[in-house]
Amino acid sequence: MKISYNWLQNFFEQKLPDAEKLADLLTMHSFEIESLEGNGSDYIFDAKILPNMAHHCLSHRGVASEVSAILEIPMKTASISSKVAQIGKTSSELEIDVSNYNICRRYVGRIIENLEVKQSPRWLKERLESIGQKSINNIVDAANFVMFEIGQPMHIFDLDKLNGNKEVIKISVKNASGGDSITTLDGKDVVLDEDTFIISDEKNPLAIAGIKGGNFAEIGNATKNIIIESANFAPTLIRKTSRRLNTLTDSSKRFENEISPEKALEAMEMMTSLVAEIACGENTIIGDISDFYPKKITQNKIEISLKEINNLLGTNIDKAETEKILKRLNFYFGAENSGENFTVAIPFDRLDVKIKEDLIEEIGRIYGYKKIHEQKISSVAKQISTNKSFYYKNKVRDFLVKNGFSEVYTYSFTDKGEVEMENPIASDKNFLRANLKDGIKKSLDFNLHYADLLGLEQIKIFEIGKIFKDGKETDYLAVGIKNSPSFKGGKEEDEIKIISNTFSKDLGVEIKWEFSEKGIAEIDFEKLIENLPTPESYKDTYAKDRSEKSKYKKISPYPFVLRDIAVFVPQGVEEKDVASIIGKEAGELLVNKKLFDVFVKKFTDGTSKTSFAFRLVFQSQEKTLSDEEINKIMEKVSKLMNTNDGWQVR
Amino acid sequence: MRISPSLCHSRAGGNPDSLWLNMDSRLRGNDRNFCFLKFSFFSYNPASSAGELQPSVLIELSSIFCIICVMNNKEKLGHIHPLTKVIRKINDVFSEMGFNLIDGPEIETEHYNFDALNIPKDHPARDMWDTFWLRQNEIKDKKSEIKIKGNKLLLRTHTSPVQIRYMENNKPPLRIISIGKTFRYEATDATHEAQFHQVEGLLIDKDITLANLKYVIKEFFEKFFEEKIELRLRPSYFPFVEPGVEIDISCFKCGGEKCSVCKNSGWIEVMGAGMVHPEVLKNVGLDPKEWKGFAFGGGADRLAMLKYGIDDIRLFYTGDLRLINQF
Repeated sequence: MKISYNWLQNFFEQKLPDAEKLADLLTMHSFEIESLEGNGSDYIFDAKILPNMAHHCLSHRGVASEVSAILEIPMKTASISSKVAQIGKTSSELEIDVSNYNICRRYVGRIIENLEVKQSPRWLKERLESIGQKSINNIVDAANFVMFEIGQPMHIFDLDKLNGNKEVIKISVKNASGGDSITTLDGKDVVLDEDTFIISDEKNPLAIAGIKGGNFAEIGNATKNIIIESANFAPTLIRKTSRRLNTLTDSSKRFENEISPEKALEAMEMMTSLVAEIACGENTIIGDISDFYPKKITQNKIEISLKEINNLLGTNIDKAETEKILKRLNFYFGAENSGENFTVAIPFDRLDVKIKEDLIEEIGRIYGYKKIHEQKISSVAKQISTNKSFYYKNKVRDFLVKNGFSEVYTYSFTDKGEVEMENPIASDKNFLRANLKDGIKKSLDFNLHYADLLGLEQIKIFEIGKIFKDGKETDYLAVGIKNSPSFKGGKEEDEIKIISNTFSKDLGVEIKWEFSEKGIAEIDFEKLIENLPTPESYKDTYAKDRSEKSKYKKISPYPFVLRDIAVFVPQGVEEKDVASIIGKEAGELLVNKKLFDVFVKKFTDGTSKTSFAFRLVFQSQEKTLSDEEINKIMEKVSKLMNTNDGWQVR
Repeated sequence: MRISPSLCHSRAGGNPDSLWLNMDSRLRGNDRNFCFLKFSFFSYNPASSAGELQPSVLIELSSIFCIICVMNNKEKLGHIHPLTKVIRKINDVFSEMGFNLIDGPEIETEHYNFDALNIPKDHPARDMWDTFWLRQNEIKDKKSEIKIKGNKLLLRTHTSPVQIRYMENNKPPLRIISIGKTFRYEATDATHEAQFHQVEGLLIDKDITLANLKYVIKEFFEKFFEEKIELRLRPSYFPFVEPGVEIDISCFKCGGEKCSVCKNSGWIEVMGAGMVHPEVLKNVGLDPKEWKGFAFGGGADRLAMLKYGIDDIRLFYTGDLRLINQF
C-alpha cells in the first residue's frame, strides 16, 4: 500500500523523524517498507501489508497508530480537523433491507440533499494524488479520502437516478437474481450469478456489494441528492466473489482482509463532516443515519501473565515495561495479582490480536526483537538418525562424480506424462515428468554444443529426482553419455555397462538399468536401495566438498571461438611449458586450452622433436569476438613461441 | 605392432582386454620411419588410476615411438551440482545441532499444504502461496494407497507440510529439517522460478523461546557462510507461526557497508520463521500448554546463489554444465 509521509505527519503535533528513518522504524517494528520515493515535498512509502496487519494498516490512520506506538508519541484521531455537521430533515427517507446479516454485518446509510458537486479543494486533490489516486469530484474524492484515511470503503449513489418511491427510498442488500447484470463504474459489463451479493434499488442492481459500484446511479456534475453507504461485508464472500468476477479493487481488498463493523459508523461521520465542509450549498440538508447493525460485536479481552510473555519471547520484560508497551499500543488493560497478570482489551480494529500469542507478538515487536538475545538450546542426547535415501543419493553422486559424471537438475514440468496440472505455467509444461531420460537427453544435446568450451570430449551427466508414474511419485536415477565426434573411446552404452559393474560392487546390489536409447539409462532409485542397510552416519559420503570454497564465474552469452595451434619443441620441453606461453600471451579472452595431440618425430638430422597440439577456446563476456581479434592474439602466441630456441610453430 | 596389455594395465588399471582392443583399433598409419599410437583408455577408469600417471607419458619402444597421451585426470572427474553442495552443507550444520533430515512428498493435499498449517480456504493468506493445482484427486502413498476425498491435490508450495506429517507420527521433543523441491505458480525471472528448493526446520520442546530460535539460526548461517554474521528479526506474518518474523543476515560480502549483494541495505533477507502457532500444535494432537516450538524456512536456491554469487536462479534447472562444472 502507498503511504504519504505528509499525510502521516498530519496525525501528529510533533515533527516525525525523516522519511528514511521512519521507513526503517516501520520495517523493524511493524511491516516491511519495500520502497521509499520522493514526491515533491512529500515522500511515498510502499508498504508490504500482510493479512495480519491488513485489518488496520490499509489506512493512514492505522499506519499512524504504528508510528505512535513505535515512537511513543501521541496522535490525533484524524489527519484533518472537522466539525460535526448539523442534522436536518430530508424529504426522502431511507429504508435498508438486508437479506443475510452474516454477509452484510452492518449497513449505515444517510441521505444528503441539495449539495453541490464540484472540484475538490486543493488539499484533498493533493492528498489523493500523492498516493496515485485520480481526483474525480468533491463527493467521490471525499469517499476515497475516508477509505485511505481510516480504511473503510464507502459508496455513494445519486438518489435521483434510483427507481421507485422517492419518499421512502428502499435499498436492498441481497443475492443477485440469475440474469442480472451491471455496468460497473469503469464501464465493464458484468453478468451476475446468484452467489454474488448486490446493492439494489427496487428494480436495478446498483453495485456489487463491497467490490465495485455500477454506473447506473453514478455521481455526476448534475447530482444534487445522494445516499452514502458505509457498510461491512463478510471477508470470505468478498474474496470469493471478487476472484470469481476477476475484479480486485481497493474496496474488495479491504473487505476480504476483514474490517471491524465498528468502523462503519465512524467512517460515516467523517464522510458527513467532509461533505458538509466541501460540498455544502445554501439549502443542503444532511439527513440522519439509518444503521442496520443487528449483531453488535464485543470487544476481545485477553488475559496474559508476564511469565507467559517472557517464556515465549525469551526475554526479561518487567511489569512497568509491559504496561508502557500496552499503553503505546493503545491497548487498555487492568492488572491483577500484584501486577503479574493483565487483562487486555483489544481495540476493535485489531482483529489480528485474537489469542495470547498474538498479543505477545505485539509486545515483542514494539519492545524490539533487536533486544532479544540469542539463547543456546540444549544439546540432544538422542543420536541423529540417518536419512537412508539422502545417504545413498550422496553415495551414488560420489561414485558417479569419481567416474566423470556431472550432476544436473532438470525441470519437473514437461509436455507429457500422467499427472496434469489444472493451471500450468505454459502449454508445454502442463504435466509432471514421468521419467528422467527426456531431461537428460535435452541436457546432453545442449551441453555437447559447449564441449570445446567445457574442454570435454564426452558429455557425461546424471540426475536423481522424483518422477510421477503409475499413480505415484518415485525417486529415480538416470545417467547419460554423449560422445563428441572427436572422442576416440568406446561406445556410450558400453561405458555405462562397464561403470555399472564397479558401481554394483561398490553398492552391493545388482543394477538393472532401463536403457531407453543410446547412452541414456535410468533406474528406480527407491527399489535400488530398498534392501541396503541404513548407515549410522553420513560420514563416508561427500567428505570432499565439505571444506571446498567455490565462486561462480558468469556464463558469457556470446559465442566462443576455436583455434588450434601445434608446435614442435626440443626434447625435454614439456606440455606445461607450452601451455604457460599460451596462457601468458593469449590473455583474458582465452577461456580454455586443451592438449589434443602429442607425438615425437625423428628428423633426418637425427634430432627428435615433440609436437604438442592445443585447442584454444576464446570468449568474451562483453561481445562477439571477431576473427581479426583472435588472429592477432594467435599471431602473438606464434611469434613468442618461435623466439624460443628450437621451437617451431607448425 | 604389439604392446603388452600388462604394461598398460600396470600403469593405468582398468580392464586390460578392453584396453587392448581399444589400442588395436586406434593404431594409426606410418609416416615415413615412425608411427604413433594414441589411445585414451583413461576415460575408462580415471578415478582408480588417478595419480599414477602424469599427463603426457611417453613410452619409447625400439625404433618405433609409441606415445600414450594421458589427458589431465582432473578434467575427467565429474561435478556436483551447486544445489546439492548447499543441501549437503545445510544438512551437515543442522545434524550437528541434532536435527534429523526428513523427506516428504512433492505432491501434497490441500490439507497438509494449507489447512493443517492454519491457512484456511478463502483466507487472504492463501495469496502468499501461488499454487499449482492438479487435475486428478488421487495419488498412491509410499506404503498405502490414500484417496483423499474432498481434498484437492497440489504441488507443495513449501516444505512445511513435512512438519505436520512428522508431528502426526512422532512424539516430541523433536528436531527436524526437511530439504526438497517446492513449486510456485509464478512467472520466472532471474530471481523467481516455478520450481525451487526449500529448507524447513522445526523444533518442538517444553521451554522454547524466540531467543532460542535466534541462536539456532545464527549458528546455522555462520557455519553455512563460514563468516561472522549479525542477525536481525523483523515482524512478519506466516499463519503457522506466532509471532512470525522475517530473518535478515548482515551482508557477508560487504559486512554492512552496502553493496550490490545486499541491494545497498547492508542486510539480506534469508528466511521466514517464528514460534509454532498453537492451532498447528492442536491440529496434530499436541497440547500447546505443554509443548512449544519454532519453525523456519527459506530457499535453498537463494542460499546457493548468495554463497556462490550465482545471478540467475534458472541456471540451476537447465542442466547446463557451464554452471555445474564450475563446482
